[in-house]
Amino acid sequence: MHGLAYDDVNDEIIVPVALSGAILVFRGGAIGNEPPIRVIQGPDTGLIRPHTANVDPVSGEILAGDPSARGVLVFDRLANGNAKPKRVISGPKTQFREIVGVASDTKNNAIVVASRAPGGPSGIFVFDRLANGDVAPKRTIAGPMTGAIGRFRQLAVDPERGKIYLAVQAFRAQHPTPQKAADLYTNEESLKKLRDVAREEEEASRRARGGAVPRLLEAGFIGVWNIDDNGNVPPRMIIRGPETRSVGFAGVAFAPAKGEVYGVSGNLNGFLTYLVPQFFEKPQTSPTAMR
Amino acid sequence: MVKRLAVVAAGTAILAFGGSRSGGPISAEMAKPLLKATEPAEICLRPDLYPDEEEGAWQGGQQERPGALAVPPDWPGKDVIGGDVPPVRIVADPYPTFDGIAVDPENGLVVMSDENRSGLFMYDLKSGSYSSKITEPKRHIIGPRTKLGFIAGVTLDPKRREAWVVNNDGGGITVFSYDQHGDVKPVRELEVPHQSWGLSLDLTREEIAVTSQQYQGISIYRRMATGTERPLRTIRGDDTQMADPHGVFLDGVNNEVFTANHGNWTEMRSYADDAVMLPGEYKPGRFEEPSIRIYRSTDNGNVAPIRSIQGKRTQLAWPMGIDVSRERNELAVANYGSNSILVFSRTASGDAAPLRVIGGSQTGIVGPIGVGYDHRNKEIWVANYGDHTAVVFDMEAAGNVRPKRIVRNAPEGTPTTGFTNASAAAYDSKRDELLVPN
Repeated sequence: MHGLAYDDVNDEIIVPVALSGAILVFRGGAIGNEPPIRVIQGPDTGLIRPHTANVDPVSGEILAGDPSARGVLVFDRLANGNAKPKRVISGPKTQFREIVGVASDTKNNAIVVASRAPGGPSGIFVFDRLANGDVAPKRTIAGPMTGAIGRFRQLAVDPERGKIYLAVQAFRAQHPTPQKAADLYTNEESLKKLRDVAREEEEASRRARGGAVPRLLEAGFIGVWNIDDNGNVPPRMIIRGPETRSVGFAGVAFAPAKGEVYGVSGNLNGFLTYLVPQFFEKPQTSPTAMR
Repeated sequence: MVKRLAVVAAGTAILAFGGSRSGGPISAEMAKPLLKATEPAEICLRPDLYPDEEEGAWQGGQQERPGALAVPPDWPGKDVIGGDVPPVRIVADPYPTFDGIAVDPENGLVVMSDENRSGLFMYDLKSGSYSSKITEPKRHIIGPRTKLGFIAGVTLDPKRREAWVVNNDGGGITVFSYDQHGDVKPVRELEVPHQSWGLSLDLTREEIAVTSQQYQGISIYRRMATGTERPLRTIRGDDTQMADPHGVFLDGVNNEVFTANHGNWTEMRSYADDAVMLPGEYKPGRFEEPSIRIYRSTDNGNVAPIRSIQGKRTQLAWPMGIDVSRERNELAVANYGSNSILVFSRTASGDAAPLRVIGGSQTGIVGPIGVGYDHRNKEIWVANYGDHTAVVFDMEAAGNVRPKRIVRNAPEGTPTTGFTNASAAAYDSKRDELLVPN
């Protein structure tokens, strides 16, 4: 599973299960082989393969990011069983491809989505919190200056300080991933694409052997933007470098009261804790004033 | 004190670790030797492990390099808060874990995959003891050249002395010689779908079977298939009743192929590339009871199983690796959900109780992922993911019995994190815990 959320108002854990097209809700203190207290699953849910989920206790909503449905599905927090989503953000205007992160921020009236695609739109997409249907994002944080050009995953928001956190696995574009196509076994077109990818990777490897891009330059990071940021802009706060002990992060969470940021590293197969109280200082002015 | 929470329901596992003052987290120094092989850009290394790197490479300079990204040398800029911050704590397991297992009595070898540190271990089939120390392997394949990542199933070719292993999170199947060791290139590679898990080589038909979790199928390739070659046959579709298949056994002699299913089902629709793949009628996901499904090994397409083992009496819970003994007419299942090995008749069907169960506090079976028969020494091997061990029993073992020998990949008593491909987190403010899903 690549997603998880904790509702600190209602003390619940929200888990997306991509392999069963479901959102499970557990009580916060759940332990062992304990069943979920609610399960959102069924034909009316529209869920296919939800990879990421989040909860907004203020608005009382659960959000599911579903790359196979190419959409963000918003459910009532107490939805159970074969429940219809309250809203669905999906369609060509959204620019969604592989949705890997989602969060809602009632205070700043935003739904924030991380979506990536090899050669396609990749970045952070900010929508009106009540957006519904095929709508364009209000703002997009994307481009080479962001460093989030394709290899990133979990996203989190800090509504109090108006911040967006993104776990970036690597500062490079995403390779095409035909292994994730629906018809790999049977479709010659998919296999051809796979062969092309292999050829491109071989060429890239040959170039790298010629001394093109040192690996450290491609290192990932935890990047933090203001929720009002827009365009091809670098993060305002960052955790990146050799002392971080990780060259990429797939997951991110934080504890403002402790001044801690947690980075989950797939390659470390573990997590690292960073003490960065400066990340949680309240802005003196509006989040956009500095840029 | 480390709080450890395991939430297990319907194919879901969460591990939660205590807050900042909990004991047990691994220090930064301990974590230093961690070496991962898959994606070079994500390898957890310090700069001194990049001997060719120039001083100050992290500070940018990318514009001057051919093929580099178009950002200023001082990216992300001087006013950015944070930067190169050392961690105050690291929670990770610096030792290997055992995952898939395959036994080769002919060559006296047992091979196990290590999903945590991405390596392949080869041990003498007689290895193991009651020592508390690490058991020395004959060979250890690990490093960037191996292309090993989050690897799962293992299968062996005793004739050609080759070990096959499959990457579960991209990377395909890689094949190594029994004689290889260290950071070596595989002798062959085969692309397979994302989330492939189980492997089984059948030398009577010269074919290899591989399961894919998300594709809900078994594909069978010719033994020497490489690159992007198509499978000879694929068993896949609604009628197969497969649901999140893991372990597989291809039995060419009896013309059967077995697969262990967790019970998760959803449609496979493309989710990563540009093209929107929404073919046909939408079918919602579902949870089913875990099962063992058996098909003809010559089957192809959307075919019903010839028999199934499923139901309360079976005790199946997260069945992982499987092995079939034709000599004993048995099917052994590594049953992760109940820390046990279930042994069924090879021809069992329906809601059948196992012939015997190896499980209990004496057995040392903790989170079993792999199981393998050794007919030469009349033993059965179990690879534990929940402990740093593999345990060996008499082939006839049943109940809560002590293992004959223990193979360790860490000193006795070393805890495991239980992480498998950790890639998300949430902070539980009420308990001061971090939740990490697998």
